[in-house]
Amino acid sequence: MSDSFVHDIHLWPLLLYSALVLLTAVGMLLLSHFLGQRHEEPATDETYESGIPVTGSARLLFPIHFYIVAMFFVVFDLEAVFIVAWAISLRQVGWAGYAGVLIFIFILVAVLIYEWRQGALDFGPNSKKILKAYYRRIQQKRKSS
Amino acid sequence: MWHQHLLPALFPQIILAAASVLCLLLIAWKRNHAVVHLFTLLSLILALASLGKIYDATAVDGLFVIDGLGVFVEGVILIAVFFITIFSYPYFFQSQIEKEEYYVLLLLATLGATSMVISNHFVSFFLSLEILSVSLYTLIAYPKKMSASVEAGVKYLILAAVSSAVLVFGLGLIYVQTGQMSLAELGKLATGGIGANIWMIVGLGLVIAGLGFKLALVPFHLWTPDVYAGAPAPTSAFVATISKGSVFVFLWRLFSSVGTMSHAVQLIFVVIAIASMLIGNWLALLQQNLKRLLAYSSIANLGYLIVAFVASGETGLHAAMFFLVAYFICMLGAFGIISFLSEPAESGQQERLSLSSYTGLFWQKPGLAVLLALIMLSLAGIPLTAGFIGKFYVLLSGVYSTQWLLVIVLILSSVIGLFYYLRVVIQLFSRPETPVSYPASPYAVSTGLAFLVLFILLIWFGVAPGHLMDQISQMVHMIKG
Repeated sequence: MSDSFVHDIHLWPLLLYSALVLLTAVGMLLLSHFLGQRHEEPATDETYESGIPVTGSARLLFPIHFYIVAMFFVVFDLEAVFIVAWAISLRQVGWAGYAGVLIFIFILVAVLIYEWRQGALDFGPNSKKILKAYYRRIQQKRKSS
Repeated sequence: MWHQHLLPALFPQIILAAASVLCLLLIAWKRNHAVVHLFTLLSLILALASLGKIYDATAVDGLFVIDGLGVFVEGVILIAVFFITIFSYPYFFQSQIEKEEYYVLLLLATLGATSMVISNHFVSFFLSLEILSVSLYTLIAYPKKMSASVEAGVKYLILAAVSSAVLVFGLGLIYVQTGQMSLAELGKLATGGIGANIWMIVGLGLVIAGLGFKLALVPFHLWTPDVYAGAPAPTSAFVATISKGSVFVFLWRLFSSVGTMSHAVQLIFVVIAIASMLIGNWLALLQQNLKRLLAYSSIANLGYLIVAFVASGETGLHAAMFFLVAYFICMLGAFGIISFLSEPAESGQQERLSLSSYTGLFWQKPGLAVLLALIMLSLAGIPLTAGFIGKFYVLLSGVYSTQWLLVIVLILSSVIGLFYYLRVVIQLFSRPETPVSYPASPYAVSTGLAFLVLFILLIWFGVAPGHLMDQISQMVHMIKG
């Protein structure tokens, strides 16, 4: 880098560009603020459900398993992409690449084992757990009576 | 593509990567906090031992450069993580959450940090930065029932992600201009004259902003106190030391490969250093929270480090490395004490944050109080501590490079800093009106030993800095040769 770092270049296009960006953004906000319509009808702030009156809150309880399934899908699907990338350049990367992809798959297997042992793969209600809790409850009732 | 001679030089990284996978399998097999803890310590020792073998090897690949600087900082990082692991055990001992994964993340973050200090290419740098940051998001928010930790984790996630984006945009612009992503190639181009133009300026500016975020230098420092205060204390120690130190090494490599700093770039760093020193110390004056105080103190300390960076050259590198080691010892000790004195609470570990809760620590636990006082004195730069020698070398490098403004600001801000460091010391030794009770922590032996080692290092490097300095200058010669 030369010492005349700042002198021999033109900074004005950058400044002009920044000014234009700022102007456009502020202009859009201001224009819509002054020109836009405002509604104060009873249904204005209600949730839009294709013309049908709102039936309830959007905050529903649903099983977290959906998230876990989605996350697993994303994680393992993404890793499949890497394996495909290796397969395309199979000949170029040679045995070193083969060793690399083996290590990669081993790590995937290790993660799968970890998830399985964590119980992350047990979807739906666990009948054994429910039965166990049921028997415990019956025993407690017998003891108390 | 395949460099067999590089394989032994990458043993620390290979060991850390393998250890994190094995650690995961160990957890899957049987959850045991003590076993995982010992396994982590063992793999860190193994990585450190493998480092000894490559100490006199200088190998350069497209992605990595294994030279004295890299190996030295790798060693410092591994030792620091060793201490943090020791502090983590009593901290998480009584916690109700699953604590074994903490060590997996610790190993991964260490992997990121150690590979960052030997990166010689934008790609390897960015990859290791992301390994480090993604592990840190989780490490910060690890006590998931503590709202403060989760808040700190989310704040760090957003800011680190934005700063990564800024950084990678800057690296991209430099690539657009030069067509090179390797620091070695950039260095070759720089000697022939890159031809300063708008892409290069904008690119370097964005890179400086991105790295400034990671180093918590002043215009980019706002996240620091919140994250330090909310994160569990061992993680705060990690953020304060290792993530800063490794990014600093890359900053050094980047700007020393681009060649002698142009005036414009130098001016930017001078302004950043002055702002960090003054504002860091200034904001720390009024803090009542020990962790926030340490956060501002670390901002100021990074400002001092940038003085050595601006000085550049051999003296600058000597000073920066010595200062970094002294700073590591202080931050590890301070956050170690905070984590040691924390108490188990319902949602997680309750840390003592306010300064007043440390009143009269000396009369209850004299050893800890003396160590904390010594750390404060070292951060303030009082003679006979490592911090003094570190600051002295930084000052010297500033004088050698005739950066008089930086030298004057360094001295002035150190005087400001003295006030709040001494305030902590006064708290430690004053008699409390109502005696504060400190609980007996479990497994105090290993932590106590770690504190003793830090204490000895702090004094040793302060009284006889020759050993460490010899080590550092040996490594600098290896860079040149």
